[in-house]
Amino acid sequence: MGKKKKNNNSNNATNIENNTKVENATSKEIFVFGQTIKHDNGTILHSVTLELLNAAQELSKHYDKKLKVSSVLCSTENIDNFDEIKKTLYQKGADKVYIIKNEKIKNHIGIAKAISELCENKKPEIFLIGATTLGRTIAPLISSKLDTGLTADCTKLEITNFKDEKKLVASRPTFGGQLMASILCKKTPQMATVRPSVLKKTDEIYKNDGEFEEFYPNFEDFNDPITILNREKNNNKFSSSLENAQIIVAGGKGLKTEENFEKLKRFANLMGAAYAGSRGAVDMGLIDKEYQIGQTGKTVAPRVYIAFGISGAIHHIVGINNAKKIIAVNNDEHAPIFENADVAIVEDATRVLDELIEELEDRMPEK
Amino acid sequence: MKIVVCVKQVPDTNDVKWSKENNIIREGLINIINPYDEYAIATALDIKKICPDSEIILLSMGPNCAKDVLEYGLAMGADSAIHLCDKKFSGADTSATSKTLACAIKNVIKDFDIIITGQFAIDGDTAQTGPSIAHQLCLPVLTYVKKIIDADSDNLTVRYENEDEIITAKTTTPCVLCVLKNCADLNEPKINDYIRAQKKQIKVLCADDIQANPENVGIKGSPTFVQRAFRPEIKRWCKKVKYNFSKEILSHVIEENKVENGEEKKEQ
Repeated sequence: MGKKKKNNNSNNATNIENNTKVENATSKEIFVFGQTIKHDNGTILHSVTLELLNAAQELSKHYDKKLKVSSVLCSTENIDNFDEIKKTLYQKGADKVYIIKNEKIKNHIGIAKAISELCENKKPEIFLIGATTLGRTIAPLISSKLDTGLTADCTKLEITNFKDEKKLVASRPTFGGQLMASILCKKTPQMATVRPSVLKKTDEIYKNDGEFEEFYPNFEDFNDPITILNREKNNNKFSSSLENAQIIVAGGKGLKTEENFEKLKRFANLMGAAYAGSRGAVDMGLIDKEYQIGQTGKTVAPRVYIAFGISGAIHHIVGINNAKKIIAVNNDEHAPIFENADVAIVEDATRVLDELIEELEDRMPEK
Repeated sequence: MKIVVCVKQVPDTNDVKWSKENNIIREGLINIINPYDEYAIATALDIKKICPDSEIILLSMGPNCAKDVLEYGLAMGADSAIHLCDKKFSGADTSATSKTLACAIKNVIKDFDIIITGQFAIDGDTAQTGPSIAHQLCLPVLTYVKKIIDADSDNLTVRYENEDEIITAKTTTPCVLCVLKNCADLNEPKINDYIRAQKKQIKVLCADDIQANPENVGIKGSPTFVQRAFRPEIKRWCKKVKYNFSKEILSHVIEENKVENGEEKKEQ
């Protein structure tokens, strides 16, 4: 309802903002934590940052005077390709970029301290952070420091009118995914973490340049309690490839044995797909926790998700709801997964796997 | 060394039933110890192996039934337990919860060295309470802890993970650790352990006992509130396919791939 009206407002707001940059400088802000990750070819932005920038732009439109979307960069390492990173942030939805600089920032404690100080200074209205390992650690440290509320692991962000005030509505699955809760925050900044792959980044270019500010926090009396002794690549961690996979084949309790899970992996390899498992499969020890999809595992958004022997408890469904197409194979025609699948195949999962492997091997004899 | 382990009783969310009005039927739900907290206790027991004079104190905030998980933790090998139980605590969000726990740690337990929590709780899954307690008590925190490497009276060395790395780090104590599953070996308590645990004390404390500021606890101290709760919508229309299944699956996948590859080729 009322949505159209809000969109009209937002168009006006955008126009005003483009014409008068001075006014923009005093407007309230939505902060988005700009998480960077070290990559072989330099530093890159975590995809969730771009997803949040787009979401922040959408949220900002609902205010009579459009909020400024500001991305906050604060890294423990020097970012060599900074100009490139900055440009990407503007292109994907940032009106302003902050970079926080201090050489004493070596870990999450330094990052949280520095960003808290920026928040105390700028008083953002909303602060969005990716629900990554780092994000989920710094977010509660920042919210505690600012004595505000934090809603974790949201899957949906909206703006509502609450007691004549615009408020962020952060919705998240709770109760193991059985229930969705829409949560509001009485204080500011209204903080939320959002899982990667849940929201969509924009395909368009928002702008190529914008405001920029360097921020130098006060670390004079800071003695870092943590000393890093060693860092090694976490090869075991499959999360990023699962979260970016285009095709995922997943197995549940219905596959029953490790041998059948080997078949699932074989099928995944033949398809060029990533493989994963449900909580039930992880609990049975059939697959490592790193590969778990669902409320207490990963959220994924592949083009095709094929579930073998997964009953489809709601805590699993919340992890796959963004898949473009869900194909479910289960011998129980009443399995709840069928209510949330695009294609339902009522058949023994192992038998289907066997047939698929055979068919694919026949198709590529040269391999 | 004094080790505080924060534990939570959670409903077994695997088996939730719905009423006709789309409300969760809470009666008959089984409460279990949050699985991550079991590992938090196991981690404390590991540290006790390194520093044998350690004392392990369990701390839980919750209704009467929270006593069950404390009894379980005592049977696992903890030395004593504190149960924060007061109507004033109810309706707390993570912010109020961490303030309450921090208040009890500061005013009742006092000279502690390590606080351990599970990384997540399977009901709320917020992962916020541990770091927030650390902030309240001005302590360093390490999250996603995979293993305890070493401990002495001033320092703790642990292995933890972030996005793409496994990091070994040393922190000064007192400190807070949030641990993952499998960070320590679990030994399920046996009947004898339960019998031994009956002699251990569970102290029940209310808001006044821990000198909590009533403005900071329960629903009053919570900056966030639930505006509405609803059942997640199911949005897919399902086509049932019975036979000739393998070809059916493949055709769907190949069809999806064609779209994507076609687009990519055009760009090249």
